[in-house]
Amino acid sequence: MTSFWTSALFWNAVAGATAAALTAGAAGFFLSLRALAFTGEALTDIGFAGASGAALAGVNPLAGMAGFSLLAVLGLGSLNDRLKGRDIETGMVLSLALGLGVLFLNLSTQSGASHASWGLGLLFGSLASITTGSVILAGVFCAVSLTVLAVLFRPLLFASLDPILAQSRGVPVKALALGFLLILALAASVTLMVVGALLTSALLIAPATAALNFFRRPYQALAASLMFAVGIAWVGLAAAFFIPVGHIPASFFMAILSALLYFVSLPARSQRRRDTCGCQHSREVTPKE
Amino acid sequence: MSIFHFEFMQNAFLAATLVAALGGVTGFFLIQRGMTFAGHALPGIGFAGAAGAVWLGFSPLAGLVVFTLAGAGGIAKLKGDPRERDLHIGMILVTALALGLLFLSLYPGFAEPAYAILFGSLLGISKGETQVMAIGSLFIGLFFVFAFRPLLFASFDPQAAGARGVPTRALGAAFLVVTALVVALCAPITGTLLVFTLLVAPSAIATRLTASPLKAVLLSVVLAEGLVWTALTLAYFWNSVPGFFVAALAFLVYLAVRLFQAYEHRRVK
Repeated sequence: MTSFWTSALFWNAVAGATAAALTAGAAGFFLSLRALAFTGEALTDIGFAGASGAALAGVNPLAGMAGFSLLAVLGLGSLNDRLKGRDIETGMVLSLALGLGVLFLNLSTQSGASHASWGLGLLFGSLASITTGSVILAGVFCAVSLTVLAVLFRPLLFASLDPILAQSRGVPVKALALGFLLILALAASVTLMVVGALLTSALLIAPATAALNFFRRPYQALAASLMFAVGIAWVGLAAAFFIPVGHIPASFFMAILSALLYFVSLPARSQRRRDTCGCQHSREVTPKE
Repeated sequence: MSIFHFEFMQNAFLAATLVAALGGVTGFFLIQRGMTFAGHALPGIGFAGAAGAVWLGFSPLAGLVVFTLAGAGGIAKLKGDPRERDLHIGMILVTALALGLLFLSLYPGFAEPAYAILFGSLLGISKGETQVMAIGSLFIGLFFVFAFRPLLFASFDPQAAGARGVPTRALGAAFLVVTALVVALCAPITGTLLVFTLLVAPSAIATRLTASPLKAVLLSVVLAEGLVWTALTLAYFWNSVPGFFVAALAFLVYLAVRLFQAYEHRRVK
């Protein structure tokens, strides 16, 4: 047991999951406010293509993911001023990215560069195989994302809640949108490394959405989002390490916990809806009230 | 040597022809009803079913059908505005995918058939499954033939359709069931990761090219057939996965149409 607690494997998993949870909790807060869930999904799929491409080229997968999704954001951001709302376009990009990822995986297993089960790690996360290099890179991504979001917190919040008013007050709304997408690309990559491309919403969407359902004040909601994300990551890790039946991956527990948290937070949301005066959600208020 | 020499290629082409036709029509209505996200979630939910069936020793196709139908039932019950509904669907999807992962990790060894469903394969379809798919396609085809006009009315203007006595709720539920079945039939060929492409891309291109619903549906079916035939042929000769070619070709055609329309628009101005 002592060797387990001092093993690099375990501490890499803890450090990687914590970095991912902090980044995802913070980025997810703005993602929920800006209703960019589908864009986040597309970015993780682009990251999946980047990671499988990186495996083929022999590059660090996290670097591949981040490189691919940052390039994609710059390319798409310059084409459309906002990715939001263009569901079909996002869907086409998402499809292409998934197709490329599947092709790269197929090529790398055919060439013997990796085993097919490695692809499973990309799709569903593989905490047991996080290298020290990836943990350091994840730490850097986490530090950069949190610093940028902290510095830009107030203008970004303003631009997310009321873009038109923010623009009229001289807030550079477009630049902020692009900047946030770049941070989101980093967050999606780190999250993908921990829970896999198919389960990223467990850390990226569920904690922040639940936090916004429970708390109305932005700072409280942000703090709750970070705590939920880190809590899900740690409890998931602990469950995977301590539940002896089979070899159930940590991402399974994280995904189930996040879904539970989300559905538990729904009554709080409708309760809050009823409490608000109806200025923001006026169309939700029925005439009786 | 002819590409149709092998029986598995005959099966693949036959099954692909059927599902492309169904996918083209289904995708058109998914887009019109603003439900593309359901088209994204149902395949993932189906994958969990396939993994569970493989774990328990059943046919993955059976697991796919059961889970996509259950998923469609759950989605049909959801209320609220589209944004909120999509978030709920997203969390249902995460739960299902987590279950899929659980089944995969409980399976002793490498669950090959489940991976074939995830990534798609030319070898994935047996003769018996082709027959099941043909019968299923026949029933779904009949549904679209008889329900086409009311479903179109209910999709474009639900309130007016309801006022005229069209059973919009029942039609919506029936359409979700049909979507679930189509997703389950598409998955073995394109893989659950790329079913979304086959459903949405042809209709997204077709609706850009024509405003008439009937023409758009027909064009969407033609495009879907062209996509899967080309993709299967390329996958056969390059010994690769068909799903990639479906996605890449669809993206190229969509991009070409967009660029051409932008050019035309500028020229007319």
